[in-house]
Amino acid sequence: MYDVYLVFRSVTHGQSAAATVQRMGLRSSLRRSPAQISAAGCAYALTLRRSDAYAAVEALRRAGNPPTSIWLREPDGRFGRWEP
Amino acid sequence: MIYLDSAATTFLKPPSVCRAVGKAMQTCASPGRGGYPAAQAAERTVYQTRAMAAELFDCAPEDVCFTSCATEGLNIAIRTLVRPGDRVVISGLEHNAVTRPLHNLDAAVVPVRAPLFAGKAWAEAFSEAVTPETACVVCTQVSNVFGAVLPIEEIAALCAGRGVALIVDASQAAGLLPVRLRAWQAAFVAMPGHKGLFGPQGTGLLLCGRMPEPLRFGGTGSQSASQAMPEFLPDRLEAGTANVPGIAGLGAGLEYVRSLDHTRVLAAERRMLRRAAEDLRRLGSEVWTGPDQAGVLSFRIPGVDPVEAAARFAARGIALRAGLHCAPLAHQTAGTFPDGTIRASVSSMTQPEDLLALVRTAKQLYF
Repeated sequence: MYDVYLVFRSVTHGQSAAATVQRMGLRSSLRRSPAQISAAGCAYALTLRRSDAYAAVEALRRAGNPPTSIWLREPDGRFGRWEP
Repeated sequence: MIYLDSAATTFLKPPSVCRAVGKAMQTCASPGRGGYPAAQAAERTVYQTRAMAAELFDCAPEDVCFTSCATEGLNIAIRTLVRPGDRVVISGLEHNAVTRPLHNLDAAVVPVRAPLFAGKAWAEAFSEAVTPETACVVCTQVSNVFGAVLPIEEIAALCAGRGVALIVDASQAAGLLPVRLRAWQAAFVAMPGHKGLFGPQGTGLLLCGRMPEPLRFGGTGSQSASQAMPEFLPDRLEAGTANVPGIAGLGAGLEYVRSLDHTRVLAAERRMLRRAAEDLRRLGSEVWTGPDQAGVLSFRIPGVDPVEAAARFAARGIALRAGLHCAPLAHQTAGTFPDGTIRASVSSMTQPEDLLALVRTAKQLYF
């Protein structure tokens, strides 16, 4: 289950992040981020499994394209800030 | 028709370009606006083109902004860097897409002049003209009138060394010669999508080494709660609905360009143009040619108005462009102002027979 949401400012940043994660052999999915985790209105979220999140975030930081925020979606649908 | 006006637009496109445009019109909605499959298809299409351009032109995908043409990109770049009264050094071969925005800003323009096709002399002339007071340098990579290749690597190194911002007009070079945003440390590089990149008309790219000021304000599908334009690329320059069919076609054009052996293409084009230049000169034409030339050949028939001559060639099925080519400064530099020249320009789709037909027709009409 993709329960970690890496939020990006724009679709292009999200797509670059998806390409980075794909090159690592990790699975992810890019989607519009829900309003409650989009600080300034529309944004994009790269969703992936919690077990992959740490490596993905590290790689994105190294690539100069870190997410603006990271969220964990709980089974009840609520979001909480998350640190990998 | 024998098409020899590729410097205006590459009318002859790879079939994949037309297919990509049609497919996008049938399958793509607006990118960055929705989460449904047609919006996602548009997002993929746009990103693939952006990423391919980034790979070809030595930058990150985010540095690649889609424009409607090179002129739009040059306007953005110039309006970002130049304030009224600023000293701006330009080559004496610039197009009106550079000189008119500078005139509009009332910039103190310093045109650099050197003999056509004398690369070293151009580099030296720029070195003399670029002073500590220079706000910006704007330089074409290849003259759209004469095909003269300017020593852009040397000019870029000069600008980087002196801390002067550089804008490169790669309109005639992109797709044929190396274009490198990062290696040149350029502030901006502008290019059309519909010339050497074989995309549809209405497409262009601006590569951004600096944060630009937008010309267009509006929705970007990002940070929508804010009334200010995003402070990040490419969104800062891409307000409004994207030209997805055009970008899809441009992506197919870039794929075609990527498949070419550029050294061979350049050599083949030079062979064709050199042969045509020799033949036209032998007939009695005035011809502008030299060692560092790419894609374009200017000539004149003595005593004949270039525009009238081009009309007669057109009547024989040969498409040329004549006059000032929107570059009066280039003609002043070369001494061909105000009448201008006749221009034959080629692409990788041009066949040697096309140039032979040009020479044959010139002979039939005038010699």
